[in-house]
Amino acid sequence: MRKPKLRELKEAISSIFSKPFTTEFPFKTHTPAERFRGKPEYNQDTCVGCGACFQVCPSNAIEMIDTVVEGKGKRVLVQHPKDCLFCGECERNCITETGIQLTKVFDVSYFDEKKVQSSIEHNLVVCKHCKEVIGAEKHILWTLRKLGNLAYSQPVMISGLMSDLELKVEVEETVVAPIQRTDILKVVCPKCRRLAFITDEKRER
Amino acid sequence: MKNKKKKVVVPIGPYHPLLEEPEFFALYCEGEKVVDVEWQAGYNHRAIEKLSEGKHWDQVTFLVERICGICSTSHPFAYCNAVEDLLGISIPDKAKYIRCVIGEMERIHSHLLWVGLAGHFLGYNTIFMWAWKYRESILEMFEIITGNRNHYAMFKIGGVRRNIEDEDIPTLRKVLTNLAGKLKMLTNAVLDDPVLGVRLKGVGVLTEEHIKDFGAIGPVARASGVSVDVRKDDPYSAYPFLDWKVIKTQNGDVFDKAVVRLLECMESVQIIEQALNFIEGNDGEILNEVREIPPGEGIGHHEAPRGECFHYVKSDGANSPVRHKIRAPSSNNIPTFKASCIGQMISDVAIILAAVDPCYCCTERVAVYDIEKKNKKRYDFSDLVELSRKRTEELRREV
Repeated sequence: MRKPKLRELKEAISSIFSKPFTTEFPFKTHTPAERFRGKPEYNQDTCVGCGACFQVCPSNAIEMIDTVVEGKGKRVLVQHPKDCLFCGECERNCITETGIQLTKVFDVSYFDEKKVQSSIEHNLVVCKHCKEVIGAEKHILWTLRKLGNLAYSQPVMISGLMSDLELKVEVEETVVAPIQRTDILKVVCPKCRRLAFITDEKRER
Repeated sequence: MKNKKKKVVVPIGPYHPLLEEPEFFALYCEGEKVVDVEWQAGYNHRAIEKLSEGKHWDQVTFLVERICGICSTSHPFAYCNAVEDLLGISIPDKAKYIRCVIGEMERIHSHLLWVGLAGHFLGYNTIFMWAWKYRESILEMFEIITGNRNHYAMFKIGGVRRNIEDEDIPTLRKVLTNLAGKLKMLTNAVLDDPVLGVRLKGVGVLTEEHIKDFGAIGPVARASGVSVDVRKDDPYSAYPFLDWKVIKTQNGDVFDKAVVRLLECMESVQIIEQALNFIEGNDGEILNEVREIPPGEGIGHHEAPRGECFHYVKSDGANSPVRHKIRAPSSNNIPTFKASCIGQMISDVAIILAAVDPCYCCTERVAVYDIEKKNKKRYDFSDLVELSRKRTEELRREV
């Protein structure tokens, strides 16, 4: 035996008397590190449905589906782990900071994708005139609280605040075409509000 | 052409677009000797440059990270350097050191991966097992620091996204000290081994002239005595503040390429330890928030484990790049096969092709066409490795 071989022999013998280096994965569950970036999950309490995660996702793994049926809107945000890069941009850019968070779940391979995907539903505020989506209910309320007193400067926000404080009186809030200046106190989108001003002025003339 | 008819053509290469790096090689042989080699690449065109024109500036970082799975931090490093060159900003000092730590850790794991694979192709599976075992500790450290073993997502224009926490630093130091001992053992084992010496010395020699002709970079150039290293030539990030030296050897054969890579790992361990001294207990900023990218153009590079990685970006002031040009180091290094393979035996070609450190699926399928006898004999990848191992076995008996 050549002399240099002794050095490797030492390593080989120590390897024989130690446990196998490989992990026994399927039989023993693997515990990821403390700050592991795993599957993102929506937090049902703190997500406000603003859609920031949908906009920043580099791989378009987050889907935002807005549906408006008979004046009532619904927004569904779905996170598809099959497309996800686990980069954490959604968590980083979340406006409430905890609305979507990365978990330690690393095992996301299933035959049925619905078992692993995380989704959340939100009610939408819809323009009473043109049925255009204004925003998610929770998102608008979140903005109101951030604005403080400034929230009272805008009609849609006032009605939003009132419903938040349970002060709102149930009024039939339908806008009859053509839109008039009185309608701007109802829930209408900025585009329709502008239209109301312009057409009203024309009518006066 | 008349001359070529007498030669046997050995095409190597898969046409399968799913593999990491499908390439095609045609070896012209006279008996066992290779007399000419042709190569083609481009079977795996993913339109990364075009895709990046449709992404936001911040999203492109994650796109370019996915160009390569092994050196996945070198592309974001070069891209962020390019955009910061465009912006004309400097990033916080702590972020510079964190970037260096991630870059050097990646170099260690990439080089160890190569050493393991080289051992595997030569029939030295012990080297393969050991090198990958030592590499595993680095990958686990990556998981602790960055949150993932492979795609670290640490880089952001203007700094880094995550801090290296003070409580992780003692673990990292311990891992590095262990690794340094093991690396020393592995380097000496490779240097002393008589069979490896006979098998690899004088095989696939690239002279200094070859390197300059083909424009080869990285460890391939440094093994031939050409001291090319962007970290020294055009310092960026925290490299000018750290004390380290460029490793180079003179012979330019496969053996020297292995030695350069192993010694570079040792150098990287030193760089990380110096950088950790700066990071530990430093509460500085790690991100210089960038609000908008003005019109202009910028270039950035980084010394990836395989050589210089180059990025060029052009902005018109909008949300995404107008032009994004990427040049990976392998595109410079692969043409050197024209010089290194000629005059060698087919059984040596496996290791010569691997010495440049492309992803090795390029020899996934081998077919031998004997033009004179009009018969076709097909070798698959395992047969080529078998040839290579047989030669090692023969040499072992001789030594």
